[in-house]
Amino acid sequence: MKASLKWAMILSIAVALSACSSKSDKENTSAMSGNGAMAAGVGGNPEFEDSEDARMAKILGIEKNTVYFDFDKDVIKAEYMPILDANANYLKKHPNARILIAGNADPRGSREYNIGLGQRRADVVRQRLTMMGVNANQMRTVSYGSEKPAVPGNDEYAYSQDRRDDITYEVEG
Amino acid sequence: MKKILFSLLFFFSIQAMAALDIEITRGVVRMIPIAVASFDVNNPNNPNDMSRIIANDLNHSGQFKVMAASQLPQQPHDPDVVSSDLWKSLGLDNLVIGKAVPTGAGQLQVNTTLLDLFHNNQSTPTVLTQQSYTIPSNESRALAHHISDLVYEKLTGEKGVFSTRLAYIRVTPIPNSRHKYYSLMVSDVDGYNAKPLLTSTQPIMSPSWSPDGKSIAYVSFETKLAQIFVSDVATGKRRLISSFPGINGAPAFSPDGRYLAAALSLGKTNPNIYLISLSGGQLTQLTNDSSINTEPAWSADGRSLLFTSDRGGSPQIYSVNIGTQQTQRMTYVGTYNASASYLPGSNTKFSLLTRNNRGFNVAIYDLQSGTMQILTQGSYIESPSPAPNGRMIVYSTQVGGRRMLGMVSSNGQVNIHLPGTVGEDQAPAWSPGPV
Repeated sequence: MKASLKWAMILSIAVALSACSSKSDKENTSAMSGNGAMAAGVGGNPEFEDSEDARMAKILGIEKNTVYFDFDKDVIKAEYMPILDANANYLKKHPNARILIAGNADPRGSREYNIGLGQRRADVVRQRLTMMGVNANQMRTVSYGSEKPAVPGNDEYAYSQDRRDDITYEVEG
Repeated sequence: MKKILFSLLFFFSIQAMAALDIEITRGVVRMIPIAVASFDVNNPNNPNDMSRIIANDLNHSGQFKVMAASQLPQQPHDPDVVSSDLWKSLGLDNLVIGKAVPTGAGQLQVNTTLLDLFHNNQSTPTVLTQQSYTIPSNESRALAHHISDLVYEKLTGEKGVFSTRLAYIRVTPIPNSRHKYYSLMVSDVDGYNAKPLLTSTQPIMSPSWSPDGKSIAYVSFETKLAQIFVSDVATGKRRLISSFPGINGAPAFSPDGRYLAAALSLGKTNPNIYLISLSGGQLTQLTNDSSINTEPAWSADGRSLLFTSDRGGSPQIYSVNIGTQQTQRMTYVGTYNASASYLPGSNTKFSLLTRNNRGFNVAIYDLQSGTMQILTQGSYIESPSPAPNGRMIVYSTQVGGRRMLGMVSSNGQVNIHLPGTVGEDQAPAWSPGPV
């Protein structure tokens, strides 16, 4: 198990935003007593697992645990098969290991439709790893759609980096 | 095509907007010429003057041609001293005057009068409405929006939306990191008073208002996986609604507030449209299809939903009847249509995101004629959401590489950008209103 589960921090929840609906123009002074106190703590600095991803890639003998996709496609290209081989071998040798496969889309168009595109990309890698003999309960998938672009910008290079699956080890096993 | 670009600077409030760009994209017909005189009896150039807020609101709406504060010949505070002839000679039909006087103990006494300069062709103007208020002085912005609503309704016959709010997602970089903060923000409709309801280091998506405006449903990835929550806007208290394997997306409150429609994949790849009962959590499946089905949007009568599906090969808008679960394709124009919402008060027109040769833009689709009117001229627009009176549509766009909110009138004539001071603003949702 990794040092911590690293749930994202929820920094501020209780924010009083009271409504200012007005009943009538003469009697609206009390109804307009809005915008009360805001308790928005900012908390400590979050921890991130970048260095652990890099360390895990080294263990797997690959440069980066990421699979890239062509525009509007969810087909795994041959050049990424070594990455899937490395993950499949490791997961089969470490039955307690657990991965998260996160599918992503480039930022164009509808955000929720892009969630659907990212899920297809995540699931195609899960299915391939299953065919390679990885136990289904070692893998879970998520789609971040276009919410986590890898490279900012609106050029073809940025888009090609955005259309990807990031594979992270939630439990190293 | 006439294209005028104004850049108006306002300094009402430190936390809010640095600038407001108003772009009049087409020659506008029949805008009501109006002026708003200063409410400040001591300093007519006070940038926080309520008159500036009212003028800004009316200007936003696309229904008014508002005279610039610097052009006003006088700053009357009392209707008795207003001469119609002087103001008529400047091409004005109406004049808003007022007076905001501190009364001690942090209170403000505000009087305002809306004058018709042309009524009966007399040289004394006619009072259309006259109001007085006593408010805590820190509520002058909210009262100014309320006065804008009064003026709008008196002169157009329709409810104004200046006291409504926006929910949206603000993404800000974390210093010395490639990671970001994602905040669910709620602001006034002009972008001021922006406050976070929730901040996370993982994405937050798709805010959607309850019909009473008291709650917001949204998607949060705070556990790294997608979950749907409903937060109370006043208290920030929240409830987990949906946490199924895979996609939990695109929540939309039913008109009676009892259900969320949402896109769920339930551990499979492709999401379908479901209803989630907010009292018991029971699911009702409305679509059963092996393609993407997402972005449900209710009809006003609560009997059907628009949604986005690529079952025909490209994303298009479909409708599903909740009783019969029959689906029907709605859009036959364009290669990419998504993010539909019925215009309030209409069951034949909806706003949507469409792709044309410039990129992604806001459009209105008319079911009766089968035609699409494209309203914006952007490239990277997303998340159109109509105002409760159907007159404006808020969206997110990119200007100079930065994502910000914009609004376009549903006749396409007025387009406004609302640049935030920090970060990127996306996925806006317009609150319900007094319509």
